[in-house]
Amino acid sequence: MDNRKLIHVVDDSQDNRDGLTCLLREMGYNVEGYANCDEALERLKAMPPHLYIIDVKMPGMSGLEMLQKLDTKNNIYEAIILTAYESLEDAKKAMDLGAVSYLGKPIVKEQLQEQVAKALGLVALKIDRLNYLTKLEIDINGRKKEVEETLKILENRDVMMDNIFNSLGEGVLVIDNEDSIIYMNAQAQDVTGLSFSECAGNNIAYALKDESLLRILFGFLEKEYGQLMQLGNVYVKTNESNENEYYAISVSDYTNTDNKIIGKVLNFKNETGKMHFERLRNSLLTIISHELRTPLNIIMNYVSLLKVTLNKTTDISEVLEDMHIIGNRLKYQINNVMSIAHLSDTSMVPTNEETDIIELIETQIKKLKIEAEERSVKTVIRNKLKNAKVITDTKILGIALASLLSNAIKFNKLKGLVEITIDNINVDGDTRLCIAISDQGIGIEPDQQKTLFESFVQVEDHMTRQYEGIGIGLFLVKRTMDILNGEVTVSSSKGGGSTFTLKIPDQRSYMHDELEE
Amino acid sequence: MSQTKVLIIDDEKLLVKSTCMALKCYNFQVEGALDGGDGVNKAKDYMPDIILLDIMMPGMDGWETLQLIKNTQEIKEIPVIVFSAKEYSDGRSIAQENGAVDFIPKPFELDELVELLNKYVSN
Repeated sequence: MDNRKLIHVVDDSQDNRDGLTCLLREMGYNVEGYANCDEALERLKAMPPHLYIIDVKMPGMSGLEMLQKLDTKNNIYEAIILTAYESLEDAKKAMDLGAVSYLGKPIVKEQLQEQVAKALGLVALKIDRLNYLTKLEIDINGRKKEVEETLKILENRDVMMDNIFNSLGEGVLVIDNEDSIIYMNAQAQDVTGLSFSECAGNNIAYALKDESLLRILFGFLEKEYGQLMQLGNVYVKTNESNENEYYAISVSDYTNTDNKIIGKVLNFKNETGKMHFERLRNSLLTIISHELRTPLNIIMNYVSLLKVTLNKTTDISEVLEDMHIIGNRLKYQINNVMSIAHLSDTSMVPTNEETDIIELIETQIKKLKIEAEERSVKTVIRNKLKNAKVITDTKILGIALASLLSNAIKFNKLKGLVEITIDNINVDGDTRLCIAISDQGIGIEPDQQKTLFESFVQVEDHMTRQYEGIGIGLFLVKRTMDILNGEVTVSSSKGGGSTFTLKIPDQRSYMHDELEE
Repeated sequence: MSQTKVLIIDDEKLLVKSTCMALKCYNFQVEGALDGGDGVNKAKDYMPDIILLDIMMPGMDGWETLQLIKNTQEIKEIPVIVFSAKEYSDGRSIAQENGAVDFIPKPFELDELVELLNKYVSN
């Protein structure tokens, strides 16, 4: 390969061109000669030289015009201008257009040698600089790729961490030492109702809208924390279906690799299932402790009394009557406990049998005869169907009817009426059996109607005697309807009595023809 | 010796009735009240030697009734025994902290109750 520097000599004078070429070749350069600018520019496309030596005055395109086209500032090559008359004006223009120097004619060999060497020195610098820049560019591109890959890994790791935190099944919210939110997983966003993208970096106290949650969290942050909180500090959230969700909140330190505390991790654990179970357990304990012990106490009192007074003056028939009543009540509560146990069995599959509704209701009413007589309550069945039969689980439906009828009698006014209406109702194109049980009692406040079927809050503590198991009964009714795929609704007004309605799907899609009025 | 006067306050009608009947056989003079307010009024009229008070009652519960008794000049010295069907780990301490003399869990044996009544009345 030819390592010599390439010089293009552009001059319209053959003599000058040859002379210059000759001189330069002697100096060891590779030289090409061109008679005009167009030829030289054409050659540039194929093989750019290191240096141009261009005559200013030429026919056609002048040397200065060519200089303009060459744009030496932005190219590797340099250019030297030849002026015949050492015109300073041309020389100045040439330098402005990017020539590295100019030579006057006739050419002095030493001057030529010096100027060419100087120009090629500049070219060498340019090449060095270009090489350096190219290398730098390659380097930068390499680094850029590395950084991009690292970012991608980090991003993947971020997604992975997100996925892991989301798979935890618990809400995770991280704040720094200034209480600014630095991370939230999907569940934490659900629980707090915050969107991480919107509240990242915000102070948690300003971001949180829910006051009760804020109180719990700030209770934690100020006090000792780390323990799973007691029942009282559980956050209760009402979801879209108006059901309560319970979240136990715990807080732990967020530490860096040096074990320095740099924030706090708040953990939200959904304890709704556990809370329902707790309530069920508490309610069972309440029934057992109160509803069973008190009647037993009465029986024991009478037994003691009978022991002391047998053959004395006490009216034994009155004592026996009371014992009968209280025995019945005890039986009712034991049945409730057994029903809860029965209906809480999640593996239970309801049976399907033809159930005569009238017969079932009459059986239940018969069982409540003593209670009805005690309050002089009458019951009446209004059947609007020709064939009041349904395919369902008789025993489970019996539990629901027993509870509703018992409540309707117990909470009716003295000498009141319990009306049971049997009809059909169309729900989304399906015919359902509809049993409405109305009483003439004091009615239920709208506030209470909402929570009526929700476990048995009502039986707790001093409320117990006022309602005497109403909550247990309604919880059972709700549960029976869940199992039978039915529905229970209540309509009531203060002082205007209550109507509880059961809507039961017929497993065989029985068509109950309505009676002609 | 005159009969010991007992007032039973419990919202469960049959419990009041049966306890009254049984205590009468043990030679007590007994009155009953079905809620806290009625109990305090009866106590002022009847001036019993001892009061038996149920905890779980609708409206004013046993603890509130106890407070009212202790804040009512004429009857504040009358010893009160509380009873309850609710499970307490140490009913006696809780009862005494609240101003009662003792606690008896339901269901109680009549003999136990009589023994307890005699203990505080003879004092």
